[in-house]
Amino acid sequence: MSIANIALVGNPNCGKTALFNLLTGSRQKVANYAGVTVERKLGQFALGENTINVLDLPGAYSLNATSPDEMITRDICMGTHDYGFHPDVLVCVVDATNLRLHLRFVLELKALGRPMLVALNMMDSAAKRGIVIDVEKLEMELGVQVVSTVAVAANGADRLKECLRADALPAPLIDPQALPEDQHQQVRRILRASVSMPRDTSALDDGLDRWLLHPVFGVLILGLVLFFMFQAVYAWAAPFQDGISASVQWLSGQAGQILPAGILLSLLQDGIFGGLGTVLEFLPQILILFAFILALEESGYLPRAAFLLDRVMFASGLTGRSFIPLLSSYACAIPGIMATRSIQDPRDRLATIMVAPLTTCSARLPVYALLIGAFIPRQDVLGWFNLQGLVLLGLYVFGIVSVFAVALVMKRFNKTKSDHALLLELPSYRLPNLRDLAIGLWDRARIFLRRVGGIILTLTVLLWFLSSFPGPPADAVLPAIEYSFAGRIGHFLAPLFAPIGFNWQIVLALIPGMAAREVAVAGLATVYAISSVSDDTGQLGAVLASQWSLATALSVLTWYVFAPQCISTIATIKRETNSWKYTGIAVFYLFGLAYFFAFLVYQTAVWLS
Amino acid sequence: MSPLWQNLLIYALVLWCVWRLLRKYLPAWSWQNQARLSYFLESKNPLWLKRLGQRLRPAAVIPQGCNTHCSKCNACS
Repeated sequence: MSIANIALVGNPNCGKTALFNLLTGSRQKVANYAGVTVERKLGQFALGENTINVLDLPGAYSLNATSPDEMITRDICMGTHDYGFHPDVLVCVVDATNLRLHLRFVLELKALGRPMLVALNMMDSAAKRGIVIDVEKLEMELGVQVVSTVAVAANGADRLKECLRADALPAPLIDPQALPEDQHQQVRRILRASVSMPRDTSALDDGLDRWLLHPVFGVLILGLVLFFMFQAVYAWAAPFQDGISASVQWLSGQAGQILPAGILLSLLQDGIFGGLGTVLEFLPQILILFAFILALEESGYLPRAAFLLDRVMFASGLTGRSFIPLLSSYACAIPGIMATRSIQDPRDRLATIMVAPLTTCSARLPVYALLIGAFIPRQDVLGWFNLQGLVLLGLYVFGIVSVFAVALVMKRFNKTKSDHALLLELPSYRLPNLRDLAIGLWDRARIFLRRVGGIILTLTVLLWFLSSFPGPPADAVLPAIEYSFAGRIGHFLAPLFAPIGFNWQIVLALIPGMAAREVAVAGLATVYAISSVSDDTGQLGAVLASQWSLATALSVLTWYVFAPQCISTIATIKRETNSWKYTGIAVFYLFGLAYFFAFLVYQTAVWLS
Repeated sequence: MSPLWQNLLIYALVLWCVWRLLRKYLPAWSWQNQARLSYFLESKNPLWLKRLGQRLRPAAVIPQGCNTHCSKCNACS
């Protein structure tokens, strides 16, 4: 009987998921830091006539699991819980540039006595650093089969596949007569026998770390990187946005020429082109932001940023380990909340889950960009800083400050914290691979476009329907939307939001915005397009600038910094905490903060004006 | 296109959107009701109702919402 199931195990950031992607052809997220994979992932590939199932497991430093993601790996390796998957072979992936650390886990797995083989990954990086590994000797010392792999090269897993063609792999030989030996000693002995390396660490890494991890310059460089990122989001996206806007308007005009005036044309022009087109304009900004984030992820800089911020995070009740989950939340809070599984301390994990929705996820970007574009003039500050970019950076900083402030308050309520020193593996620096970057951006664009064509389209059509039906009475004097279902709902809820300066149109857009934050932009576009008495509705930003006060715009921006406008995030908090109590607390405090700060900002702005 | 056809098209589109919304946010509930409707129609006599019921029969597996272990967070939404 041939091998049918294999499990990829190993230390974090050794390239398991890259190998999984190479073997199965899938596109699971990979990055140059530990803790990207927190759930098991299943895939398969054909090998001759056989199909081999591959399980990609979260990284673990040892079988002595200390966090929820490591427990999954421990359970499957030890067979205490199979999760419906029985691996015939454990493929232990190790980083060839960091054998001193990774071989300890190999020895632990070997002691289990299960069939296994070692995939010596990143052999190309090892060769660049002058590390010479005698694979045959290593195989002899370990007592298990060893194969070289390069998970980022197209044919980098060929030798691994050859080994898996065998009917079965032998279990490692464990000599019962052998004297017990400390694992560290054992690793040192194996390395002496089979590996020669010019120096323990990379000279380039050491040189860069001298500056990037410097307590003063390091923080300054981090600030500069973030500053440049947000400036670029505005400065580089404008021509692309104008192009998309012109295309959507052209399409809308073409529809007007083909279709007769009527309800169907209204759906197309006010709902689909007005609503979806407005959201689509923000794709360039999202892609520019992610180009920076992906490049930073690939470079290996992010764990350094976590290290730099550990002191601040610890003071506010978080930990440097919270950095990566919080950073993931800038894409979307859901994977960010899931990434907290790599945090060992349950209190730290809970605190990170509770504050993750405060980080500025990419779905907020269209709302911010719309309002900043409408209310903040496009002008330079001090010669070459972009004012709109500065305001956007300010909103992101506001989100970061609120993360720390809320964590600090939680720390005051919960004093059961146990001290955990930050042990973080700093990966080697790598130049971002342009192909991987392009694939990452393409995936991001697809996710966004799928949302536009999926949930945003669905809700825009429904909001258009509610805004158009029932039609106005014969003696109507107000715009038609005032008599519609949406108009009535908006007017009914408006008094609740009047103290924070929201009109009924904003209130209405917030409701579908609960499903996805960007829908609020599409919602506003649809509602204002239908409300318009003239045929020429113009760009949404210009319409808002003429109908809202600056105080209202600031209030909406503040609301979006805090409000948990996303049902999926709330559901994920419930799943990860397994507690309705904490889910309720999160929803209550986020809405409470949103209302309180929006009220404060609105009333202050009104008073000042 | 006559106003009647335009209205019919709009109603069909709105129903489809409501169904998509329910499938996303109330997957188990919508699956149960779809199964109930399908069973009801299949038990009726005219052949076209039976066929409609068969077409409406939901997939054997209850669709998963965004709060389950589908490992595709932020990709399926």
